[in-house]
Amino acid sequence: MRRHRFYLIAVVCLLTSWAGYVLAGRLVAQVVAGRFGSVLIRLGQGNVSNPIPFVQHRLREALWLATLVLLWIAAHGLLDRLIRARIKYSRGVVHGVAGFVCLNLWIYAASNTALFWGAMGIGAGIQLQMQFHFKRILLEENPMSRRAILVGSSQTRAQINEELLNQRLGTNFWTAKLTYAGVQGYDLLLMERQIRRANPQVVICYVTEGYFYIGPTSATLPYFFQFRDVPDGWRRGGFRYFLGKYIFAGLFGDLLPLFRCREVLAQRLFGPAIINLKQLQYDSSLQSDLEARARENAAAFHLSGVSDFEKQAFEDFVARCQQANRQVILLVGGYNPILARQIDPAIRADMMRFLDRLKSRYSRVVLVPQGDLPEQTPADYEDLTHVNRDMQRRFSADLADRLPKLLSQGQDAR
Amino acid sequence: MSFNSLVFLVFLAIVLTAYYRLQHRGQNILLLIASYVFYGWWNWRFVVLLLFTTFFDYWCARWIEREPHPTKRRLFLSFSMIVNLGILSIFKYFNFFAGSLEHVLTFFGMKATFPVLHVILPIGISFYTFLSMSYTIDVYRGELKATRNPLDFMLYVAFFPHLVAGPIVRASFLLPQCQRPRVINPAEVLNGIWLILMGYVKKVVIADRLAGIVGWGFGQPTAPFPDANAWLVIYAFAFQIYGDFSGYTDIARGLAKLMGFEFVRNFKAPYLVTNPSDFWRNWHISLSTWLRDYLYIPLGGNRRGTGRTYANLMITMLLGGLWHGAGTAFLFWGLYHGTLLAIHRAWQSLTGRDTRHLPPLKEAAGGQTRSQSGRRAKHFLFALLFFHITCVGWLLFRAGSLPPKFDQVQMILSYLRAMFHWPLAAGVSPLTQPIIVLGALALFFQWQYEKMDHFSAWKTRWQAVATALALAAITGLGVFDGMQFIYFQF
Repeated sequence: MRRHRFYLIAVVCLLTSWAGYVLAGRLVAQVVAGRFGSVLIRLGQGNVSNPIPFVQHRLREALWLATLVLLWIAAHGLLDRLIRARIKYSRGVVHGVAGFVCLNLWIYAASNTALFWGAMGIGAGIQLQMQFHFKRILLEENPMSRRAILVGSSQTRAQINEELLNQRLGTNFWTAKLTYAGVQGYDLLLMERQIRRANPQVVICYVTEGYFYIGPTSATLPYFFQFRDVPDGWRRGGFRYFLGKYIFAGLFGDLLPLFRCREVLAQRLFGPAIINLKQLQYDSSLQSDLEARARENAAAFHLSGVSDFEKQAFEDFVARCQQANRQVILLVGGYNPILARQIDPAIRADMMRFLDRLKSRYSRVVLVPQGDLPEQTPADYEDLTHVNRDMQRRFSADLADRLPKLLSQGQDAR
Repeated sequence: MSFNSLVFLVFLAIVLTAYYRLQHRGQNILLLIASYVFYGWWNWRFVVLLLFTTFFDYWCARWIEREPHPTKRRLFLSFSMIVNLGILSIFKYFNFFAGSLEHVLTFFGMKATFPVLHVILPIGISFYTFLSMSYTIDVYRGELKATRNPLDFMLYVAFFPHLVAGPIVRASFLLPQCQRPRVINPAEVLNGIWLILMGYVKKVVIADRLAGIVGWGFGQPTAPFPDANAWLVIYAFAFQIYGDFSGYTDIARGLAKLMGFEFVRNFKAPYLVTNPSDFWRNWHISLSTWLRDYLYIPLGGNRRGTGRTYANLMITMLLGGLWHGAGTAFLFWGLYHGTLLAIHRAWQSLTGRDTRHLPPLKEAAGGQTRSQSGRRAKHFLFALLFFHITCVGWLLFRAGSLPPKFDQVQMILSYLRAMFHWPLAAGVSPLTQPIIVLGALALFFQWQYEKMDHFSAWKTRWQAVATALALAAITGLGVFDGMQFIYFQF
């Protein structure tokens, strides 16, 4: 009886909340945004353009997730009726497994809300997955008529400041960074599905040799690879190159969303030290002498079957963007000259040939040669690959000045 | 093949599916083949050594049993001991002893160079050697009849759940289970499932998450920073090694239950005890009881006077330390625990108190009256103090596993300096959060160790919550980068 009363109260509360949301959601959002709008914009770090729809969407997400919890409880009630008479010993375990399945379904639903990813944010440490999805969802909601995404590796992240671009480009153009450290050609192809959901009109990428020539590593397989990618990956011959454990991690993550979110959840529960220490350990293992480290790193760049695979995947990414009528702006970048000097020149030449071919094949591709971009000296770098804040500011300002012209080039081509 | 690998899960699914369809003899043959596949997965050559040890001890035990003459019986036993310990010495200790002898001779101005053996240490060699030795000793003592069926004995030694990291199950306990048809009890299967889930939580969540902190802390030539953080790194290692080893044992026990076997409990609540004697009754119980029954007592135990008792304690713990690894740090770890046991024994003799029979902390915590509350607080303080004493031992233990490029003495001294530097660091370290959360989870498992063994007796709702939480913790918080279990190296 007590249990029934609980269900009844919960259902009534939820229905009332939904009704309240439909009738007065916008009004409540306006009140909250009026009170906390400036705080939200500040905390959003350039990802929140308008606090009113932001608050309204979060209210809807909260109600949706609460509804799912109630459905979850109801599913257990139903299951209990089904198995009570049939299972004697392992009823608890069956309920436990059912609860685990429901939790995964709930996480799947939650991972499509900014509320969940926002709650996973800890304001410190390395939170690539959380930042990627949080920004992607907010970009989906963004009301601006033209939206651009900055894709690529940590170099794109270090090179371009989205906040500065948004400030400089006025109220009709919005950029968001959907970067992921260590991204290569095939990773971009995997991420394309996510990018498509944000429906940007422009894709900007800072391209360097790291996308094609550093061998079979993948930063995103465990986070973006799905069962539906298996036939395509097989056809491309990608499984020859990648470690099985990354592929299995991706597939397992597709099956159990909880598994895919494990690093984010672990950081939320255990704090940033869990992940940061790994980075610290990696950093401390690096050579302190940049020249020596450059020699070591340069040896990893080579032409091989993997580079052809990565280039093909990158081209397919561009082709999908063109198919979706998206303009692709490729900024031809490089590394710290200390490293660039050590890399085999044949690799650079091969990359340039490939990018030129892309430009000639795809009308929506705009290629910006390295010579047209601000010059970068060793003093502009923090390490061998990432520029410092000052260079980021100068590079972003230059890009902001250049973008209107580049966008019109893309439209001309169309 | 490690318990925390995908290939093991596939292997287990195949083995269990076939196991439940077979009769007793078929089950034994299946388990035997599966065990050799499991072990040979690392390196098939390991299987040859395992087979040699198995057959050798099988025949030694048969000869001992057949032989009526005590001298000849002793001769066969000695023969078995020499061969078993000889194999262990060659594979595990030769380079250490040769190196140590070189150092000693150099110290006395003599020059000697011994050859270095380039052999791979077979995984779990210490475990199965002890297991096999205990069988011949028991037969010699007349406590066990030598089995006539070599398949039963082969299965006893090679049974894959315990093969590489224990528990060291005695022949008198496990061999009859191999010989008799086993009954699959649904309640025990349920307990087994829970033990496996809990074992994975301990391994992939507690141990492998803390491994990052430990790896970072000991990945530098000296303590990473002064003050309290050195303690935090040691706490992390204390919980890591508990999670790693007791997690392995739980999985092993759980697997055994799924197949109708029963293993001994290897861990109780080692970090909730108040003295070294209790620590060894709660930590790696199968090894400490092995050392007690086959080393300490045969040496004379406490029956030959006070001096001899202390000497026996030190010898037992020194060898116990050495069992863990061929290195000076492990030797010192054994010495440290031997000293603690000796001090505790002396304290008991002086005060006339036998603290061995103090109730466990949770029983002490159960009281309501004022005196019981005081007792509870006192017990808590002693447990806290002894946990820190154990942690100092763990520093020696961890130093034993440092890569050769590091100076172990320098590392230990720098940690000790940092740990006992006063005042402790101001502010809260970012390491505190994971250690508190994961440490609390590890202590909870210790606190409730008895209940953890009787999952089938829990209320349905708690079974459901625990199962869902364990599955969620494993998939949502676990580390899956194929980290090996620490005790495999022993």
